[in-house]
Amino acid sequence: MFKRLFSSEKHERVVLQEMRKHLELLERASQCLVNFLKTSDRTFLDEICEIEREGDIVRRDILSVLYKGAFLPYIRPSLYRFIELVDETLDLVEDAARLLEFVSLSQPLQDDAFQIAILNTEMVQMLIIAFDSFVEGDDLKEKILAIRLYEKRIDDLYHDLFSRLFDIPVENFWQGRGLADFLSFLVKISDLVEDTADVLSLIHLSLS
Amino acid sequence: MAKEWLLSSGLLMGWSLGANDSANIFGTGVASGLIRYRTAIFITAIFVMLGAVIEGDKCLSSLKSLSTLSYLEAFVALLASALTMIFLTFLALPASTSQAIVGALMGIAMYHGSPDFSALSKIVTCWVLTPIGGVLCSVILYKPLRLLLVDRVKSLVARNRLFFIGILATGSYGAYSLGANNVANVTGVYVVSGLLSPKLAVALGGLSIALGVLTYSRKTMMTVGKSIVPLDPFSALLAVLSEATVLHVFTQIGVPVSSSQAIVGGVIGVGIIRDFRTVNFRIFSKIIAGWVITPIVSGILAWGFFVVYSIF
Repeated sequence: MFKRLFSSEKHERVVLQEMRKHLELLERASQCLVNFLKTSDRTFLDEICEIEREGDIVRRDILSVLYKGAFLPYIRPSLYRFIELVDETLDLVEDAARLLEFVSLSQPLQDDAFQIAILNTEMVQMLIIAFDSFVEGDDLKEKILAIRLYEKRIDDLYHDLFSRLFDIPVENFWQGRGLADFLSFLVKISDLVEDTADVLSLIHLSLS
Repeated sequence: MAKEWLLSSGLLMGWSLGANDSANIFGTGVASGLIRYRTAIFITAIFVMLGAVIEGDKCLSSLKSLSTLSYLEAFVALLASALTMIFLTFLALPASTSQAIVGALMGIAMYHGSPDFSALSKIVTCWVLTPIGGVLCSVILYKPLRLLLVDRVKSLVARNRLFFIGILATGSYGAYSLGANNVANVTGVYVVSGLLSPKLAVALGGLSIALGVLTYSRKTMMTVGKSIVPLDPFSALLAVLSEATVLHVFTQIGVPVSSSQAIVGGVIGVGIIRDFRTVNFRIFSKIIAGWVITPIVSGILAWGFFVVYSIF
């Protein structure tokens, strides 16, 4: 208790720095997925896998500092939830990238997937901005709203895409399954980013 | 040595007070996850002792006005109160030691056929004013505290640190006020009966309360705060500060009052400011039942002891 009282908030600052690093890894992974979609260059897939592994290490580091005594016990579960959501999103980016290696996308489908991937990346960038505001104690409303608008845009795109999916010929069941899963993962990334933003908003409210 | 065994009921009373009433200090903080249980009891024990020793003698005179007591009557009054408190702690109801001890003293006075209800009026008035004071304190302190803590301090790290220090500070003040106001309930009757000097009475009383805090307070600590209104860090801090202020004010008046009533008033006050609908009145009524049962049970126990004693 006295260590915490007289400490220079070192643990808290370390947690926040590492959480930002975690988010930056997610942004890099999202950008790599965009590039992989554009170029089909396998090095981007390898980079995504490497980023995901690094993300796991960062996540473990954050949690160990968090439960050593950073922040009030009151907000630790919410911070933990935030970190877990970012980790889940990273996993999803990796899963989507792995599937992309095996599925073949027609040009219109590739264009739609590319657009969704770009929007995902912009969502993550907005999430980082929201996180910086959260740390400074600034108002989050507009940033959270922007993230929600992105998510809605992606949902609309997917809805339109989904209606055309059944007309797309596939070679076999696994190709079809892979294609469906890839698109589903791509859209789910935006759902998780939105959930992450919501957690941030809730922590901000609870401390107000 | 012959008379020292009579202190045992007072020490038991102090222990049960510590076990039950410490929940009123850090119950909101521990249940809301602001502070760990071990930290809370450590701080409470230290500051309860300090409050008892520094200002504990201020409330001793109120009990003198209720009754004169022999050594045995002092022992029985405290034993009846302690047993009542232990029973209510077991049920996880925050009970009032002030009401327990007053109930026991009135039970003894009724056995003698000489209950003086006029002396009760000042004490009972303070009991009624205690939860009202808690509500008012919360309402009055809400805006200034919010301006000071929430609106001025924006950054997450700074706010986190401020809430942590705030909870420690208000909890320490609350524990100090608890010791100052309630130690009279523990060993005040021994001063009335002449068994102890005021200085020794507050020191022993404070020590027994501290022991109760350290050994048996976990169960009741979770009832207060979590059960009534779900509290965020600022609200928890405000409720405890209100309670501490009310206790300290009544210490200056010289009347031991219920810390349970004060914290419930503080928490209800917070609930009213935020949203009236969030107040869990079912638990509130359970707590009020404890307040009613306490003096009655304690009075019956004390009266019953002397009835049995007179038979044998």
